[in-house]
Amino acid sequence: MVWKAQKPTRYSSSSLKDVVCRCADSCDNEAWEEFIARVGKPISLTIMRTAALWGQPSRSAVEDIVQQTYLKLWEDNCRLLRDFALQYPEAILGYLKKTAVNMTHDYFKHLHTQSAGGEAPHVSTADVDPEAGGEIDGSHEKIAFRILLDQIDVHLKRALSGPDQERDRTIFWLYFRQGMSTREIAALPTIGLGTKGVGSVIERLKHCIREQIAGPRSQAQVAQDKPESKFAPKLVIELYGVPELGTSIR
Amino acid sequence: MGSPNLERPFDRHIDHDELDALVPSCSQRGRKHRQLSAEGLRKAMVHLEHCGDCRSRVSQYRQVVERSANLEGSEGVPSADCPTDVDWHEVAFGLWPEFKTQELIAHAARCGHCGPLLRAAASVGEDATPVEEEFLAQLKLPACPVRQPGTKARASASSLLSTWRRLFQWKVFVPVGALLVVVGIWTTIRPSAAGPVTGAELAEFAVSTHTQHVRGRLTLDLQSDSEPRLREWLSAASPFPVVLPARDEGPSERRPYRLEGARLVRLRGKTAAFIAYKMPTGPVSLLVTPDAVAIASGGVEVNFKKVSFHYRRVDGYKVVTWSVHGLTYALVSQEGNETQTSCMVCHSAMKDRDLSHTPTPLSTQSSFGEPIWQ
Repeated sequence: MVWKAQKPTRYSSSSLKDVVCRCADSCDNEAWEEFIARVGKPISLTIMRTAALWGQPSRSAVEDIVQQTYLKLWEDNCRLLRDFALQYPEAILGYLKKTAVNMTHDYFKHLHTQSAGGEAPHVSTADVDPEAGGEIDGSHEKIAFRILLDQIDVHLKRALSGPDQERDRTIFWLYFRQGMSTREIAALPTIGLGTKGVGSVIERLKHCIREQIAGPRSQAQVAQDKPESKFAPKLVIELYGVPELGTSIR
Repeated sequence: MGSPNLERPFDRHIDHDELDALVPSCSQRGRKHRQLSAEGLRKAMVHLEHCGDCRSRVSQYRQVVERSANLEGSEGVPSADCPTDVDWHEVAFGLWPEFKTQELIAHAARCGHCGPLLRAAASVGEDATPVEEEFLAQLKLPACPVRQPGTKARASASSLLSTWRRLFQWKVFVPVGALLVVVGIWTTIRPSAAGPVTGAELAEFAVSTHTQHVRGRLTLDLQSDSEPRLREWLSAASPFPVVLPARDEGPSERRPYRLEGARLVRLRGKTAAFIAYKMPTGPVSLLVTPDAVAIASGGVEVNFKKVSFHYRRVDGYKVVTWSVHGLTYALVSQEGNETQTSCMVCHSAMKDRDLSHTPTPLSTQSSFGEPIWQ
């Protein structure tokens, strides 16, 4: 499929909102070509990826869903799309992707319903015996995990300041807790940074956390200046207990 | 256990550089550490053997660097803080208001239940990989969907044309035929192109606007619970005079609704006023537009002396439309058919009768039955 229009159309310099309105008013070929050139690829990609959640999608299935998505958008002379485009011109692409996601799920749900000949055998909920495992809310692992997250969050809060502190904290957790890539984070609305910007926020926060965990460097230096004991620390502890040795000032 | 570390005081704990060397991050792996020699690293490791506190700190930092927090996996268990009724695709695609989006993403970032949902939704919108590009390149181009009403218009136009040709052969009917063609084209094209919005279309639009607001996707330009403030705002912002019952609440009076605010919306290129209310039965909204833009019609009709009310259900919402004094109103609520409390947004301000216990003239089934009141 060739996404870009072969030659510039009359609407090449129009906004996406205007192209949508043109398609809704009197869908001439050039308006359609321009529409496809601008949004065809993200729509198909969204469908392909959503379809992949249901298993390996075939080419013909993706083509079917793509066509059904355009039919849905074109219903009633693109009335819903047009109304949306007029009210939220900056969110048109999001609207199209959302429609594509819905159409894909609907397609596969229909395919998998038993009335439509789904092949999966029926399993009654009565036959399923749920098991409580290590992931239950009060498990030891879970509690330890929450404590760890809380500790890291405390370090983060101490390290962050300025107007972007909430955004930076969100970026940190999206990366470290959710495992999102810098590219995925940068693509989220309201983050307002490119991939590199997100990367540098993460590096900066990692550095801050390291400093928080290690404690201020000057304290380590102070400790270094103290006279060393000629006895092994373990022996000193056994003989005199901890106070004689001195405790950490962290 | 190794031998005690005689060269390093016990209370000299792991410092910043040692931590960096003991747990190199991805970007540092393979790089030589400028400030820490192999001997220094060895000493740090010996210290770790004896110091539980440092071991715990190094382990904590390792979990951060290796991003092992996301491997713990607590998905599927929503907490009390988790938002309900959120479509994470809509959040990831930027379809929610900015403030709400920030709030939701900040929650998801720290939540084991919502985070994976956001991540799954966000991954759909990423750039295509080379393999995906190849797959996309094999897809055939979608065909432009046929515009049904347009096709009908073209068909009727061509049928009129052939009739006109036949009439042309009958020279005596030429003037009459031409006139018929003009009238035909006028009546075929005019209503759909520029006529007022029908009652059904208005009801659909009102429900769509109402649901967008309820889902937080339609912010209000005026956020106030003061009716005088609303009237003041409408008279300044609206290009047409919006007439609302204008009796202010008495000191001992308690109305069954609370005003949320208002905004202007576009209905087929024209302006309409959207007013949002909160009621114990749920959110209620009132859409007001000039009757040149939309006319109340259809549904279950209840006629009074000066006004007719049109009741219908759209997507589970109850919609009442009426046209009066040059304006058309559409009231949307999720109320059942047993009561008409939502109507009190106008009736209580009019100090009119209490409709809270009056049934709606709609059948309990989704299909329309005969109106009870008629």
